[in-house]
Formats: sequence, structure tokens, C-alpha cells
Amino acid sequence: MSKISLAHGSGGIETSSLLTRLILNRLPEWMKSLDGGLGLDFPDDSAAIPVREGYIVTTIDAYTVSPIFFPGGDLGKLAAAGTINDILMLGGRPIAVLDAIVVEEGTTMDDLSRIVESMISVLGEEKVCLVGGDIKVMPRGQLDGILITTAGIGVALRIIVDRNVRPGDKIIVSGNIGEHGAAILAAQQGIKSDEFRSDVSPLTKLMLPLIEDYAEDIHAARDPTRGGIAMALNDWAKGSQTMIVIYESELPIREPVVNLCEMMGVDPLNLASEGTALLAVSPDKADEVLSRMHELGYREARIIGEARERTSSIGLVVLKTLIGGARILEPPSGELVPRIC
Amino acid sequence: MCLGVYGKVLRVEGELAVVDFGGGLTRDALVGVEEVREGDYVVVHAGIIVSRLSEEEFEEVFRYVEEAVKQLAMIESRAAEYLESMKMRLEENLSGQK
Amino acid sequence: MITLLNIRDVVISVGQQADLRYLTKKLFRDKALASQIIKIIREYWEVLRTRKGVEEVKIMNFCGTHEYTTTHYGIRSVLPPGVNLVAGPGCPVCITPSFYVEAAVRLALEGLTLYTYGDAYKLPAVKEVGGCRSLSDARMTGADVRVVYSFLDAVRDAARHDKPSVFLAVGFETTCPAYASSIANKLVPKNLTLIMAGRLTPPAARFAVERVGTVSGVIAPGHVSTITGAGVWRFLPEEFGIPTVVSGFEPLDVLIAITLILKQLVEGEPKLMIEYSRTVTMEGNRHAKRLLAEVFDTVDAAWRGIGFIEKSGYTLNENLSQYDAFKVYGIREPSREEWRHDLLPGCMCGQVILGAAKPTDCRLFMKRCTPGTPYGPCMVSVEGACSIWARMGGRESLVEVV
Ligand code: SF4
Ligand code: SF4
Repeated sequence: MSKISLAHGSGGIETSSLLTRLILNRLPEWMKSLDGGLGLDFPDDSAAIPVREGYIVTTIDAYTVSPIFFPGGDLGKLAAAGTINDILMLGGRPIAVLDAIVVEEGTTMDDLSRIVESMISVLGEEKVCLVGGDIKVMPRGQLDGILITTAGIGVALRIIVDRNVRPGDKIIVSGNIGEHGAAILAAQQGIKSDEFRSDVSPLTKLMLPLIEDYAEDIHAARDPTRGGIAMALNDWAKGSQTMIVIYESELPIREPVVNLCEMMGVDPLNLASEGTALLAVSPDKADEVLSRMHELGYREARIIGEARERTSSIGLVVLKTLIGGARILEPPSGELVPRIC
Repeated sequence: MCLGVYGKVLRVEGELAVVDFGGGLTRDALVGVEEVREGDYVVVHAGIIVSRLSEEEFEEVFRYVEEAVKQLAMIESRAAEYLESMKMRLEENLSGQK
Repeated sequence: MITLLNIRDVVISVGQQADLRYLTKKLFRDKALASQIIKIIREYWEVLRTRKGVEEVKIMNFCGTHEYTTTHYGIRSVLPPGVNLVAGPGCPVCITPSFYVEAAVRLALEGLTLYTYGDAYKLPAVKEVGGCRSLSDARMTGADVRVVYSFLDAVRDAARHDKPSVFLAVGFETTCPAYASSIANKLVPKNLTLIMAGRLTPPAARFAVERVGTVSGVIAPGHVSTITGAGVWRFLPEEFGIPTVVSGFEPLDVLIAITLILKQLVEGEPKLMIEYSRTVTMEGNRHAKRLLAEVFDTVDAAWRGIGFIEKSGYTLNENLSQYDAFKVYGIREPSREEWRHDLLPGCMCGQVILGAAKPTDCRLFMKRCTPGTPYGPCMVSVEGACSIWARMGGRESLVEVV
């Protein structure tokens, strides 16, 4: 009998095949698609429901993390920022959030208050309302700590959809890669160092101006959370029928993160970011968008590659390596665990 | 097999050493070699120091390359030019480190 | 006459800043240097092809980490078509006999705390034990299985909780000194025992070249050689006439090793060379070798998918049986006669490990067997040849595509 394993939740290909088997295959076409909008027919960061003028953008996500307090943030901040970012990545302006909190019996009131406080303060700063919610308690041992589910609602005049990546588009990343994943990995492995801080934060200050001015030129946007940019790029290439070429030498990865990954035997391209955007931008506007991102305070933003016409069946995402070789960048698979060899 | 990571020894405490893997990433490791001193560069595998890195030998390998180029230069004259650009590159790399 | 500038002088002139960690990454991953070396490789290949009529050069890398470097940096994609790299029996995980995994799963299900490394944690056994094929299955059913980065972490953790615990101790000469040193220094708490599955690499290398036969050169394992000394590979050039280079793990290390093998082929004089001279010597790590000899006996031992190889395994020596999980929990290891082929039907790991088949030759590759749902052992370790090919595509020459 097959059972659910941690790999099913790690955001790689096991997660997507589970979702396909468990949910997508059970849905008749009409339940998946929203006429004139975006439903589960093309799974994206959020869904878009067409209204008279534009769209209502909506998303839902469940958040767990261990430890719940980590350098740079906590579960509450993660839940608030994650949901806000999902709305933004579809081109939406976040308006309101609903939450459902499940707590394990015995959790200290102090921990729970700090988590909720943190969630509320992020929403407050971003002028997003909290318009509904629920709280449940599970008997001790039936849940590890706290689980928060947040649903978000936003509005958009036009939406940015993953499957619209076009040959020629430049791939831009807004900041250093893998910071959240590295912070969590370091915390889990008992490594105490000021070098590792999660990048968890809402991307409102970056995305709202970009959506305002470049909605037509940004063909796709994604925050590469679980599964890292390896997963995000593979999803794009698959959804848009393009081939994406990435230059390893252009990837912004901080030295300590590289070191940690080498030590633990994990690939930084599979590590989550929680405050970084990945964009596909039309080539004639790429430089302009890039300098705008720099002006908005995202100084590490860089062009890391481009989309091309798919000419061969081998590989959707190809990485040009440091030494001038090439390899296929596969979507991540399996649980991330440290290795010795 | 056997992923090895390079580190620098910060302290030695009996059979354990505290090793810095760069960028503030430190961990302790068993001392698996005859002796280590503070400041030594070492190779750590799964929590044990298996070897030291030798500064003297560090660039030795490029001498092998040099020999290879010389041999090729004897067979094919154009091989010599590779060496010229390699020399420049090495120099840049080494002097560029701060 | 061309001479290289004295790098050491430059290092000194830069001041005492010469940080070898930094220098390694800078020098040994440099694109411009790499492209020069690749040109040298092409020249040698031309010489071999046109003057010596060589049709194919097949270089075996014993070590899974070399396979990782090769695929991670796309080295196959920059080599001339006649120069091929094949994987060897280099990963302690894939060669760990199924029996040890089954024993570990059984002990975990009986309520013991089980420790191991991330790679061995996912390793599947041939037989199910209590519905579980691997330690990760056992954890799903509620067993206490803990993934650690080092033996030291397990030693400390076990000392804290005092529950009966077992470490699934896989590894080659590089990994085993950590067990030996902890035992010799009396760091291991009473409640922690080991399933000792350690193996020695030179006997397996001999076995591989005897069976496969046709390799033109060998890239020998760098970190194993830090312990054993490069000298243990001397038999390759001397008895089999195979050019052998002990190499490091950066992309330039591997490219230089390939260059040196081609150079030897041109000269027609097979030798043992140490490319990884910055940390490997001919004689190796005396201290670690002494520890290994003190704590372990060398015995004939089974390799998964291959069978028994003489003098290729470590067991805890008699007077240390209080650390031996098999002795403490009354488990008897199968003898040579009782040993059964321990691969599932269809899995070709035995051949993949010996470099006689490519992962893509296996019918199950990326169908029944994927990194998320490994069927055979070579799909488990991140370093397993099948897993590496699955994740990074050791497939066709990608350079033309890009
Ligand atoms: S693909 Fe799987 S089954 Fe086939 S040889 Fe590799 S590990 Fe074995
Ligand atoms: S898993 Fe891969 S590296 Fe390990 S022994 Fe098998 S082929 Fe070699």
C-alpha cells in the first residue's frame, strides 16, 4: 500500500504528480476552467475570476515550517507574505486575507501570540485586511506545533500567467537565490551563524510598480518557493512549450549559501526563496525593467537567462555551467536531506 | 563517494577541532590526522578531518598542465599559445584574491 | 622555453591572505582556464586518433563524487566525441547489501532509535520488513529514524536520550575513520551500537577492471586516497597497464586528470599520477590507518549487486563487540554461501556500478525507477549513477543545442 511521504510535500515532482493524481484527474473540465479567467486548467500561483472590468485573483496555501521561529522571520510572517506574493505574481493587488490556524495542544500561548502578531503586522504594513478566520486545536502529538492556512483575494486589470513565456524573453531574478531554504536548513542542522537569514517578505514594493508600468512586458512572474528556481523554471518551460537557458555564472547566490549547500550536498537551485521574484520579460524591455527593479531597492536583480524556441526534445531547462559545459536542470525530486557522498 | 569540504581550523580541543567552512559557517569535527594546528586548511568528510591541504602543493598541478602543453607544442606548434593565456589567467586569479 | 610563472610568489606577494578555500573555487572553477585545458584535451585526442588510430578512449571514474562533478559541470558535453567517461563502483550507498538495510529496518520497527546519513536513509532493500522497504518507509510508520550529517552528531544525540540506538554505518575508507576514532576515543555512549557496513575500495576496483577489462584509463578517488594513500592504486598501471590519475573534485581537477590520462596514452607509458597533490600523498593518512587497523578487521564481504569480494569489508574487531549491533541484538550475517543476489528483477545496478552499462540501458530508468521512487540502489544516493543521470541528464551533447 503506498503511503504519503515527506517527498510528496517537498514541492518537487512528487508534489505535482500527487496533485495531478489526487485532484486534477478527478475534476471534469468544467470544474477546472473559469471561462475567460484562470483555474486549475493551468495551475499557477493563484486563480483569476473574470469580472466586469478585470479579474478577482484568489489563492490559498497551508504553511508549516520547522522551526516556527527562524532567523529572518517566523511562521506568521511566512503565511502573510506567501499569500500576498501569490496574488502579486498573477498581477493582482492584494486586498484581503482569511486565515485558519490549527494549533497543537500544549503550544505556549506566547508562541501562538507571537506568530499571530507577526502575521497581522505584515498584513497591516501592506494595507491588506484580515476579513475572516478560524482556529482549531489538535490533541498533543497529532500535529507538530502550528499550521496556518491563508487564503488571499486581490484584484487585477490584467493577469500575468506562467504559460505566456515567449521565446526571446529574458529571465530576471529579483535577488539572491535560496536564502529562505538555506536559513531553514542551517537552523535544522544546528548551525548558528548570522550569515543565514530567510528573505521572507512581501514583494509588494517591487511588484505593484512593475505591474502598473510593465504589465504587458512581463510575460510571467513567480516566487520560487518550495522546489526553488529549478522547479519554477521547469514549470514555465513545460507550460509555455519553450526551452529555457540559464547561465550559471549569472546566478546571484551568496558565498555562505554556496558553502552550506556544498557541505550538505544540496543544490541551491532547489532551495526556497520567500521574498524573491522570478520574471520573464520581453527582450526589448528587459533592461528597462531591470533598472527599475534596481531603483526600487532590489539591487541584486539580474538577468540570468532567456527563453528560446524549443528545438529539441532533450530538456526543458538547460544550464550553461561555469566551465562552459551544459547540463539539463531537472525539477527537484525527493526529500532534501544532507548526504555524505 | 565521500564528499569532502575544505575548511580552516579555528581551534583544537583534544580530539575535536572547530573548523570554519567560510562565511561564518563553523562546525566541529573529529581530528582524523596526526596533528592539526590553528590556521591549518583541512579536508572534512562527514564530521572528520581526513587530510590537510598543502599550500606548497597547491599550484603543483598546473605544472603538469605545463608539461602537457610542452609535449603538445612539440607535436603541434599551436599548442604553445594556450600556455600563454593560461599563465595570464592564473596570474589574474591569484592576484585578484583579497 | 616556456615556464609557468611561480604561483607561490604571487600568492606570497598578495600577502598572507592566500585562503585555500577561496583559491580552490577561484582557480579550479575558472572558465577561461577550463577552456584552455579543454583545447589541450582536444589536441591530445587528435594526436591519438590521427597518429595512433585510437577509436575510443574510455575513462572510468570510480568515485561517485567524480561522477557528480562530471555531470554537474556538464563535462561530458565539452569532451571530444571519442573520449567517454564511465561510472565505477564509487558510492558506499549503492553497494551496501540489502541485508544491512533489512536489519536496520527491523531494529527500527522493534522500537530502537536508528541513525544514518541522508543517502542511506532512502536506500531500498530487496525484501520488505513489516511492510517497509527502507528506513524512510519505517519512519513513515512511526519508527524513530534520525538523519544526521555525521557520526559525531549521532554520538551526541544518543548520549542525550540514552535510548537503545543503532547507527547504520556505511562508508569507505574515508568515512570509517570517524567510527574508528569515536570508538577508540571512547566517545560512543553505551546505548549506541553500529551496523558496520564499511567497505574498502581497492579490492572492488580490481574486481571492476578484471570484469570490465576495456578501460583506457582510471580517475582514482581523491578522498579515499587521502586515507589509503595513492600507492594502493599502483596495481592498475603495473598489473593492468591502465594509466591512473588520483584526482580532486573540482571541474578543473577532472579535466586535468583527463588530460594526464590522454598524455600517458600518447606516451604509451601507463603510470600512477597524483593530480590531487594538494591533499593526497603516496602513503596516505598514517593516523587514520592506525585507527582503522586498531578498531576493525578486514574480511571478505558482500557488495550489493556484485557479490563477495575478498578482503573488502570492515568488521568491528572481537574485543569491541559491545559496539556491534549484530552481536548485541543477535543478528547473524549471511555467509558467502547464503548470500543471494540482492537486486530486484530488472535492475541493472550491478552492471552500472561496474561501468558495463549506462543507466539509460536499464528498462526501468525513469519509468518504474525515479529519484522520488527509487527501485534500485543506484537511484538512491544523490551520487548514484542513475540518480545523477536522472537529475542532471548525462545524456546527449547539449552544447550544440544551446
Ligand atoms: S534505473 Fe533503477 S532499476 Fe535501473 S539500474 Fe538504475 S537503479 Fe537499477
Ligand atoms: S549508486 Fe552510483 S555511485 Fe553509487 S555505486 Fe551505484 S553507480 Fe556507483
